[in-house]
Amino acid sequence: MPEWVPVAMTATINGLAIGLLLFVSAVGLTLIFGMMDVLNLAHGGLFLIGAYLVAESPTWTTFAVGLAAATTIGAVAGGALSLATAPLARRPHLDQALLTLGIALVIAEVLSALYGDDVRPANPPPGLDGAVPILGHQYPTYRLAVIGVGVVLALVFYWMVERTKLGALFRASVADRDMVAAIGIDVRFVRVGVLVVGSALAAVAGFLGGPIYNARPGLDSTILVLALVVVVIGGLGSVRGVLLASLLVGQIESTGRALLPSLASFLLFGALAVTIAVKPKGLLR
Amino acid sequence: MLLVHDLHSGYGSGTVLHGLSLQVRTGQALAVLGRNGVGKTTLLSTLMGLVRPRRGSIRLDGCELAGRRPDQVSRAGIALVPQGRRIWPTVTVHEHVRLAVRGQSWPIQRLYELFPNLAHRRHQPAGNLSGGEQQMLAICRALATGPSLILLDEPSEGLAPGIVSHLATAITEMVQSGLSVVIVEHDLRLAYAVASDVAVMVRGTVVHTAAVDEFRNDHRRAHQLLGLEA
Ligand SMILES: Nc1ncnc2c1ncn2[C@@H]1O[C@H](COP(=O)(O)OP(=O)(O)OP(=O)(O)O)[C@@H](O)[C@H]1O
Ligand SMILES: [Mg+2]
Repeated sequence: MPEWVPVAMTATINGLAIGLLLFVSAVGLTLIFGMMDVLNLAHGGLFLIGAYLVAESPTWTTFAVGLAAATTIGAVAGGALSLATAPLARRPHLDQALLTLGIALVIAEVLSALYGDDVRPANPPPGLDGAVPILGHQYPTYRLAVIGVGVVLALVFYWMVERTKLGALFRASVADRDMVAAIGIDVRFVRVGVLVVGSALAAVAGFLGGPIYNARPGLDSTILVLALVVVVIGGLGSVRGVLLASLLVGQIESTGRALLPSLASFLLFGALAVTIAVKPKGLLR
Repeated sequence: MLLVHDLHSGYGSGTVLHGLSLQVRTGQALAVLGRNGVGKTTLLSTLMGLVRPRRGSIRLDGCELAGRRPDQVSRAGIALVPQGRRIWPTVTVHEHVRLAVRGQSWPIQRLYELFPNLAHRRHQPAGNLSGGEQQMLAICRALATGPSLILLDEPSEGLAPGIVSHLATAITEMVQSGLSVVIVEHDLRLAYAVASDVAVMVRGTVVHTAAVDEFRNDHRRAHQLLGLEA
């Protein structure tokens, strides 16, 4: 077997894990923006909260409690965000973006005051902290588990959006919110709903991704930028597009870092530039 | 009974409706006519609560609706079939109906009986439908909310003549079932076929109302108000 095969294999599996994590964090962002026109820059901060929580969760019990806490904190934060942005609902995007950016900075400062500025390593729960051999190469078990969970979450989400009445309401609100209101649905509740679900997903993604990225200051903006890139490439408000774009960006990130470490971010923004030039409304539009 | 009194409305700093008053009796079908840009769409959007009125009152059966949100207006019994249809392209026909359906007056079965084409295509995303089918779907979605008054904004726009006559049949059926109708229409044959009265708008107010039979023979006035050939 040539030497590059395991390297390429590792990069591909890594890319899959990163891509699925990105999907879980970006899908909330795209729904919030697509449905309610709120550009939520606090999204990265919620991811970071999840990452710090998992760093505090060394056993399975604490892992389970931590995951529940991440979900709850994300959901509550989403509710608070919807209250905070509601008065700006009819104002330009920039006003809302500035408000959520302010919230993102507050979250980052609070976390850095609580945990300091050093990297806090987060370990996978016991049993998932080992490695399994794939083609004679040792591969971290936790990343495979993340891929499994990510696939399940993506499938559940996809099914919900494409096949349920709630999903139809999501798609209708992305397409034309005024007409949703005109059939008697109070869109303020829809707004709270997407912010709660989207924010909870961001915190869960951070919790699951913690053992891969480790909790550290600056992770929030890294993830936010990646998620924004994914949302733009996928097309605002398109769940299918975000899934495709996440998997693509995951591969670009991991393959790029494996083969051309110094050029990896150029590859990423190159892909973004090409997409905007060729399909300005996103891959699937 | 819809009573609109001294309605002022517009966008940003511009005013489009200047003290408009109007009345629709229960079960009446009123055609609102007027040249491009006189504010017909703005009137319907304001009645629906999509545009906030600056002044004036909108009473439906005694209940004040001016300043209400569109979802409240919908629950009070008004439904809108908007200009340009505004169906949701990625949402299927059946999902449109399921999201909108409320009350007992128009159960899904009855809607599909009125529009058999839609029943056949119920699992298609609305974006795949023809223009005529999309218009039927927009009507279907409005009826599903069980309104007592339905607002139709240029339903015949961009449709082939054969489909317009189909549309006329469906609207007539709605009127016969006891619904009040306000229809904005450039196609006068359709307007006269379904409505019993006309209201003519000029620059944001209603300047003339008459029975259809009277107005359609009053060529001089039609020419003067609408710029039509006698
Ligand atoms: N969303 C909007 N924002 C700002 N101005 C608008 C908006 N919609 C309409 N207008 C303006 O309001 C005026 C009335 O427009 P409206 O669409 O109500 O006319 P209309 O009678 O429905 O015309 P048409 O027969 O072409 O449909 C026009 O001058 C138009 O430019
Ligand atoms: Mg109009």
